[in-house]
Formats: sequence, structure tokens, C-alpha cells
Amino acid sequence: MIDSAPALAIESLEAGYEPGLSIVRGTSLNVQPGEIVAVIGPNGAGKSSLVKAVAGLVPISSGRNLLFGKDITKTPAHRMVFEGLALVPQVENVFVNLSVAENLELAAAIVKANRQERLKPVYAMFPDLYRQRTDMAGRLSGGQRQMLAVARGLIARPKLLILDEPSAGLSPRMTEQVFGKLREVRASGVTVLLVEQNVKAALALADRAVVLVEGKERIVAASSELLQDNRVAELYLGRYLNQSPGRRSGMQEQT
Amino acid sequence: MLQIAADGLIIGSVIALGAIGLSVTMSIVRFSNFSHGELLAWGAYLALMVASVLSAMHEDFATPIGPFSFGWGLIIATMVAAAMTAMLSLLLDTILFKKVRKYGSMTLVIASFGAALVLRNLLLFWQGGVPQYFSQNLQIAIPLLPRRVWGGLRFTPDQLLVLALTLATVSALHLFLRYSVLGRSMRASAINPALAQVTGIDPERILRATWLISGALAAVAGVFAGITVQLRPTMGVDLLLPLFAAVVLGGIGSVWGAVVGGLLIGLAESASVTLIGAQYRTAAAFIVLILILLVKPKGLFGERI
Repeated sequence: MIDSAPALAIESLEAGYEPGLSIVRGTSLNVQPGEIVAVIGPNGAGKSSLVKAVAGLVPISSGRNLLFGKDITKTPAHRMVFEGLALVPQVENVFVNLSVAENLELAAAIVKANRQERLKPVYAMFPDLYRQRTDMAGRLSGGQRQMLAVARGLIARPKLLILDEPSAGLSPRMTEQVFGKLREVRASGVTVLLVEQNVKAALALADRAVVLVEGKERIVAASSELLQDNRVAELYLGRYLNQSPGRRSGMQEQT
Repeated sequence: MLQIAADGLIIGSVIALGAIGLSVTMSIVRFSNFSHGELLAWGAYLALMVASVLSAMHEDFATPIGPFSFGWGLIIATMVAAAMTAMLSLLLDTILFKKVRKYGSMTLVIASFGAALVLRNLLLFWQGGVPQYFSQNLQIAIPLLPRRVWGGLRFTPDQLLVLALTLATVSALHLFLRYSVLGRSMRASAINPALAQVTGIDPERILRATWLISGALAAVAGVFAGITVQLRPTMGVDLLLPLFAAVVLGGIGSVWGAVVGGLLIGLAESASVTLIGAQYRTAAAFIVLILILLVKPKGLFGERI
């Protein structure tokens, strides 16, 4: 590990499910240690594909990913957790045929960790999960599942936690609860990268945000700046893309 | 009446053991393996070969144990055959299924048809088509209930042992899947392979474990079929349709579903032999399958492992 290296450096990444059909088209992005960075953008922008490519689930055709300075571009998905990267997928992010405790115990056992030592702090952070530990994960509500998914990701004690739309399908109240837990996760020293459709909530949580359009980052800026900027809303309506680059000033723009 | 049920349980226990392996393969490797029946036949003949070698080495291996028709040689041979069939199953994956996996499940199914033909004909070439037996000793069925009680109930000691060992094997597999890390990883991979990967589960390790377990269970089922009926090179293909019926009936991916499905198919076959004639036994099993699927389209315990 290189001390001064970014937690995650994505360099000119091209990735897609089919050869020759890239969904991620030359994206570059740096996430600094201890940051929460949000990836936002309209539907079909390639946000989920970007984080899945980083996690080894989508084939990469060119570019590279560095985790704390270590090249993880060719690391298989099942080895990522051992490198310090945990992904919480958008949907189907818990094992519905296992109990809450089995979900967490399995994650601890896979990384050959002491079960109690790993489960204790996670249950302390998610007391509801402790109360429901014998319930089947498939019977949990959407918010509870999301909590379990985050908890499962944390069991491996990752250095970088990536979440794909953690607010998907959740009520505003439940979204706030989940995002509150993410603040606690960051406070515990874990770097967080999240993909979000809920722009307002994401920008309220993140230190910085990346606006992804058609598989490429278009704007990288502090969340506080993006919150004030009307162009983000316009982007979601498709207008921003049609403007000339010269009119898009102020923030760091990347084409 | 009771005897029909008892005979059904014996047939069903063989089908159940074979169906578990098939069901686990279908839910984890995600294709219908039409060569699975041949693994039962190979397991039975490998056990016969090892038992014969052991008997030739020392006659005590062939001496029947207590009331049973076979000696310690067959018990040792069954364990050796289970290991050998597990390796054969893994070998099939390595040289065939692994290479065509990227082309999708339909290619895998067609490949498994080819593998079944090769395995069956190799067995015919090696052993010939004449039926064989693990033991030439005759067994007398023990009356457990007199005729006046629902027609009576009789079992041979071998049949009782097959029932007990099936129950023990299924229970052991249940405990393995429920409590071991590898077993839980297999259940996790069956329900959500992508999430299993990001949790740190090596998909190739899970596939290898699946092939080994299904092969070993197939061998045990084959030996049980050989003990209770006879050994024939075509016993695998003869059992294949009941195996699939049991898997679908119980629900793909469910171990207990495969057991219940196997027992129900066995009961249906046994009842049809007595009530409407042996020629309709397979048809009767499939009528039961269709009736249950009309009520529960995902099978009795669908989508669980």
C-alpha cells in the first residue's frame, strides 16, 4: 500500500458486458481516503456498471483501477474483499435463503475471521439486526435488507465500501436512516463510494460528487457546490448535455 | 396397502439420493445434467469392481454381515466407489462442461446428452449387458406386521438398511449445507452467484464441491439400486426420468424437496405396479408430477437449498 495514494483511482476505464460495447467509456475518478464520494447521473449513464467494473463483476476492456495504489484491475470479484474492497449491490444484496446471522457469519467465515470479534461491532452499529438475527433475510423489509447488506459488507472490514443505489426503493425516512449509518461507517475510517439516483440525499451525504453521463464523468465537484447548481437538475432533464462546454463554467469539468 | 407404501419407500429412497445430486447441480451449475443417471450406473459398477477385488484378496470381505446379503467388502467398496464417481463427475466438468459453460445452459444440456451416451456405452463395453448382482445370497423378507393389519408389511434386512442409510446420508448432507462454511457458501451461490462472489466466495471452488458431492451421492444411490434390484448398464438412463421428476416435484434446489419428491415418485411407481400394471409405472409417476405442479408450479419446496 502507498500511504499517499488515493483510496481508489479509476484511470481511463472502459468496461461493458459485451465485447466492443462499452458502457463505461474512459471514466477517470479519484476517491481520497476517508471521503464519501457520490456518483450521480441520469438513467443509463453507466453508474452501476462503473462500480461493478471496479468490483470485478463487469469485464474491463482498457484502463485500470488502483486501490490504495495497488492495481486491482485484473483481480477476480471474489478476491476483492481480501484486497479491502466491499461492494453492496443495488438489488438482491442479501442471501434470502439464509438467516440474518447466517448472512453475517458467512461473510466472516469467508475471510477466515473470528466470528464473534467481527459480529459484535456490527451488531452494535445495527442493533435491529441483532434483534432479528434468527429471521430469514428474505423476510426483512427493504430498509432492513439494506442495513443487512451494509453490515455484511462491513464484516470483512473493508478499506473502501462501494454501495450501488442504497436508497433504491426506500422511504425518505428509511433512506435517512441508511445514510446516517453510512456517516457512522465513514467515521469509523472506511472510505465510501456510492452510486445514487436520489441526488438530493446523495449530495447531502457526500463530500464530493461525480456526474456521470453516457459512461464518462462530466463534472467533479464538492457536493455543496453541486447542491447549489441548477445544471444538475437540468442534466436530469437532458438539457445540460446540449449546451456548449464554454457555458459550463465554475466547477471542474471533464470531457 | 402398507406393503405398497413400503416398496415405494425403497424405490423412492434410491430416487431421492440420486435426485439430490441432480437438484444441487441444477441450482448451482444451472443446467439439467442428463448424464447424472450414468453416474449412478458407474458408481454401482465401480463398487462391484472394488468389492470383487476385495473378495478375491480375502474371502472374509464377501462373508455376509449378520442378516444382510453382503459383506464388509461392499461397504468399503461403496465408499471407494463414491470417491471414484465424485472424481469422474469432476473429470466430466473439467474436460467437457467447464469448456462449454460460456456458451450457455442449452449447450451444457446437449453436451450432457453426449456425455451420457459415451458413459453408458463405455459401461456396456466394459461390463456387457447381462444384469449382475452384488450378492448371490437370497434374503427372506421379515414380516414386521401380520397380513390382517392392512395387508401386512415385510422388509428384507437389505431394504431396511437402505432406508436407514438414505436417511443418514440425507441428514448428514442437511447438516453440511446448514452449518458448514462450504455448505452455506453453496446455498449462497445457488440463490445469488454474483453476491456470493462479492462476499468472497470462489465460484470455481463451489462448482468443484457441487460436482464432487453430486457424484458421490449418485454412486451411493447406484449401489442402493444394485442392492435392492440389480445392476444393469442401462440402470442410469432408466432412472433418469424419475430423477428429474423428483427434482421438479420437490422444487429445484431443495434437498428436502428432492427427498420428498423421490419418495412420492417411488410411491406412485409402487402403487401403479400393484394397481394398474408395471408398464404404467413411469406414466403414473408423471401423472403425480403434473397434478402437483398444477397446484404448486415451483414444486413442493421451490427455490431453496
